[in-house]
Amino acid sequence: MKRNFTKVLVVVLAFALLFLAGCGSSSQGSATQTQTQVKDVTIGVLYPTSGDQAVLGQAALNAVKLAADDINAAGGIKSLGGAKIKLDIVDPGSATESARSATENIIKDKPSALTGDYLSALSMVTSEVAERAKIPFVTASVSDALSSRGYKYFFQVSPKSSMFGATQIEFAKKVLVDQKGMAPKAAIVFENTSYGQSTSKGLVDAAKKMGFDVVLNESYDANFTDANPLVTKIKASGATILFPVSYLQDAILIQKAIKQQNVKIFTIGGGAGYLMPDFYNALGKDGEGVISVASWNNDVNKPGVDDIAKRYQAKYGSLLTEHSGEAYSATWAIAKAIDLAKSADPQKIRDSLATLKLDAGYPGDIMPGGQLEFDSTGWNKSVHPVMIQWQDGIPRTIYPDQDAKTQVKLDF
Amino acid sequence: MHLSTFLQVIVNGLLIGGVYALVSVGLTLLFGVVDIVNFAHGEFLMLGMYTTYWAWYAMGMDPILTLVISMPVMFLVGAVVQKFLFKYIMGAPALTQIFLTVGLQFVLQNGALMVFGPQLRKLKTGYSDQAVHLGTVNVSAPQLIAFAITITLSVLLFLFLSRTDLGKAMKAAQQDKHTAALIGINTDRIFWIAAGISAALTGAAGTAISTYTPVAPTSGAAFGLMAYITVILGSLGNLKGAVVGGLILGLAESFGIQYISADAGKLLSFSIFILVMLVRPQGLFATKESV
Amino acid sequence: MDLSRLAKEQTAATVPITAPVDRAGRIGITNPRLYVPVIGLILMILLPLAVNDAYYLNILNLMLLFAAVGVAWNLLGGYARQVSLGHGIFFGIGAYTSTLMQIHWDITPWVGMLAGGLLAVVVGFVIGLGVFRLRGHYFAISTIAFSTIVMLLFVKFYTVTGGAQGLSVPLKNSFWMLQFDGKLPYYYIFLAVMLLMVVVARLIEKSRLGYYMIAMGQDEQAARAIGINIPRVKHTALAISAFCTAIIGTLYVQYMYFVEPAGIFSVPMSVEFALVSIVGGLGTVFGPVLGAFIMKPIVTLTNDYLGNVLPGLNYTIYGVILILVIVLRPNGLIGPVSTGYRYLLAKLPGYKADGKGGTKI
Repeated sequence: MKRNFTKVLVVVLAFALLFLAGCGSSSQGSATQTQTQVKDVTIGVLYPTSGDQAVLGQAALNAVKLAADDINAAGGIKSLGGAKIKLDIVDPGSATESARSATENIIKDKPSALTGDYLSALSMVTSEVAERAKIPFVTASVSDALSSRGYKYFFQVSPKSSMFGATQIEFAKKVLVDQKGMAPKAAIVFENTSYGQSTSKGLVDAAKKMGFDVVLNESYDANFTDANPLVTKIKASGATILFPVSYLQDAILIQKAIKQQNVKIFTIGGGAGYLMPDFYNALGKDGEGVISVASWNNDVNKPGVDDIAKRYQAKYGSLLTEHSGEAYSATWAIAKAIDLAKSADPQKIRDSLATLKLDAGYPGDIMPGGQLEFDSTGWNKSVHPVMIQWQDGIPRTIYPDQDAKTQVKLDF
Repeated sequence: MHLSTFLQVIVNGLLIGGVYALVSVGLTLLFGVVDIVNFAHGEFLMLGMYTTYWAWYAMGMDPILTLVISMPVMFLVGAVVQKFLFKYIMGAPALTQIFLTVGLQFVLQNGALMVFGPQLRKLKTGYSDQAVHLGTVNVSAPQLIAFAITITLSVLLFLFLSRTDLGKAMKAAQQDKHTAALIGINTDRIFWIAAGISAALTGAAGTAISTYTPVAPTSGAAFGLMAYITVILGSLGNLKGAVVGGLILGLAESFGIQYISADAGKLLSFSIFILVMLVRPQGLFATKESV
Repeated sequence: MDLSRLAKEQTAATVPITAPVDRAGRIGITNPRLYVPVIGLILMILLPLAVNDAYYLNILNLMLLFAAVGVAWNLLGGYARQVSLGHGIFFGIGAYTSTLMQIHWDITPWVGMLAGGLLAVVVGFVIGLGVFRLRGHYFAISTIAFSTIVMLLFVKFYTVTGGAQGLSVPLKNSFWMLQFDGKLPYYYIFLAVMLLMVVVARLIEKSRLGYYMIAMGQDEQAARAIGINIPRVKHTALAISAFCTAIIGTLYVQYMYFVEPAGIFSVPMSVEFALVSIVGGLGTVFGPVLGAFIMKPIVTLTNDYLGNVLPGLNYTIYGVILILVIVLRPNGLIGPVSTGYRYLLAKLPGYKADGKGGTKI
């Protein structure tokens, strides 16, 4: 009996030692420092670039890279003698465990701040690790739960998921019901994911408040292979306006099934899949005119947005979409906080973020609403969602009026 | 309950079921002859979808015509995998098979990610969002095509297995490897041909599905899961079982969504699966020999 | 592949090895059979102090945790050969039960984990009724169906479970609430639990139940013929396995502080529990430990260091390793490793061959 025991303990040991050797050599590697006089400031970046979430993750990562290049080209962190921003990029994967490990891996390199994780489930993990390590984490994740935990090192530049519904319903009421005379019968369907469940609640509340008759309010299996049964149900409900909260594949399949089953319903998308260039590409001309809510868009009425979007498109060959724009803004906010803190120390940067208010016209101040400023829960308190419409293959901001440069087009 | 909705629910169920049957035919054939359950089956389907997409993209072929490319390409993939991988786990315990093919699933899915990237790719055809209207009931055109392919391939496969010498040899090899070898059947060859045909059928399924569903490296996984459930429900290795099993699961999903709740489709179909397993532990079409 | 050889190897791998003893029936501390494991244990205790880095300590912690859950899975999947791909159900029940009890009633997870364990036994019993008549692939895929059903139910009844958004463990650092600021306390708790699991597995292996499980796992018909009550053995094995898995599930959530249905009830999670046993050695006490100690660092390090080099490369490597292990070493890596270990022991001072002429593995 002892023998088996012994046997494996040694194996265990051998591996442990191997492991130690590994740690030793790698820490030596990271100990070598740059010879420059001004030290770089490291920002840890976590975006999923593998798995299901890779498309948006890669796009947002590109935006962070663009922001870092812009910051460095503009002279770096001036109060630190023009220190350059250096990005430390790790893939948090799509699971709790990998997000945790990735965050810890980054923290090992002693970053001054963290950004990334557009998925709320990943942000829940990263924010927790960052809070314990006392490193500020600035994200564009939208979940309400994130800023409700009393964390001190957590900052959220984006609108909260509970706000999307109010904007969508407000728009539908004003434009579709009041102007176009559509019956206020709403069908709300949402994928059974974190994003879907948290966003739908705001939708239902707002719809009831604004006098809509909610004839269907159901979650659906995000892994479906066919949207026809769902669309049959939507059709049978007799709704006139559909509010789907969907990721990319389900958004495409739902829109196709609506066409196939000849359902007369007006769709107002719940962001996510409805904003992605691949959504428009897959639907072709049927994507034209589709309306959705968005936490940010590439033509919101703020200085510098057009220029950023243009350069992003030139550099990476794709549209600058909502998460990417927010990621760009978050990176600049961090840079500004470092500049004000005059230090690369995470604690000082955190304090600086807590009192930060970006000047109007500052390169990172591109979020809809007022100037970027975090409240005591770490949320960017003046931000709000916008409505977009796909026009000629580009999502154009159409609502609210102060953010919009384009008119909504309705051909009925 | 509206009659037109009810009819539409049935049509939806049959069409989904037809797709489940289509993706299951190759899996059940592989088990029937080679005695292997391939957990990378969904990834074979994904490769078939990519083959069609790229053939459409590069040559502008009509997606359905790409069957002449996707089937041979996937035949080759299946035969190669059999010769270099599955050969080693034939007759091994279920566990060994599962984990070797899970390893293959990792490699194919992530290999596709490295080669093709993460983005969804969607081909465009005139009929991908068309429907046939029968009164108030709408029948999705691409799914109708998939259904037709299911029926055609199943019939062809049935005829192949029962009428041709090669097919008969496969059946013999399925029933008794040693006897088959004794009467002069080259079982090794039989097995790689069967694995090739299985993969080719899966490639055809990929072609049919890609006419209406976008493809990404992870696209096969959801279909793969449904295929395992389908072939088990209809008894492993049983062609008729795969078709009937697929239709049952499709109808259950459609009815669950309409009459229970929109997220109860799989809850209902999987629960029915479990209940069937309770009553018939070897599936609906178990024969005495396959015990 | 010669299947009779494979079957023989598998039999050999599960044959218990007689303990090496001296004439008085004990082994002295001068014998490497005792002092090597003692040194090993001491080094395991000292190891985290030497590492002193949250990132690497995290990997060590996950290795220990997955080794423990691998051993728990192996009781049912390895010895009794009931290949469950739904153990995420029990893991998740453990995680959710203790977390919900903390959130709603402020009950310590030390109590919560026992409640979760018992609930897992009940759920396991029901699932067992559904799947224990099934064989091979029928069994494995039915357990996947069950875990999918459980996941969908957890998402659907969000008022109770928190739904797809998941649950966070409330921040309360103390031993009583099983929460710590650093990683070191977790290391020792996980190490203790893993060793406990190893002892449990060893005791079961040596018991009448273990004998029944192994006999049944090798040939159910024959086991039935010699009068073993098959359903009872299966249910007992599942109950023990489910209970242990749920307890480790509580530890996991106390370490991760976050649980969501899509992660914890997913097929990849359940597959990983089984995978460590396959790689290490099915139906052996230390197989899952070895498997976890090999696979967990590989998956974490490749993800963190290659994930951005070429997305997908990390899991491709993982898959290739898995395929190679199964083709080249279908009985896991424990065989050659234990041979090497015995060779090492024989070279060490104080080694005495055991009087029975040596046992073979």
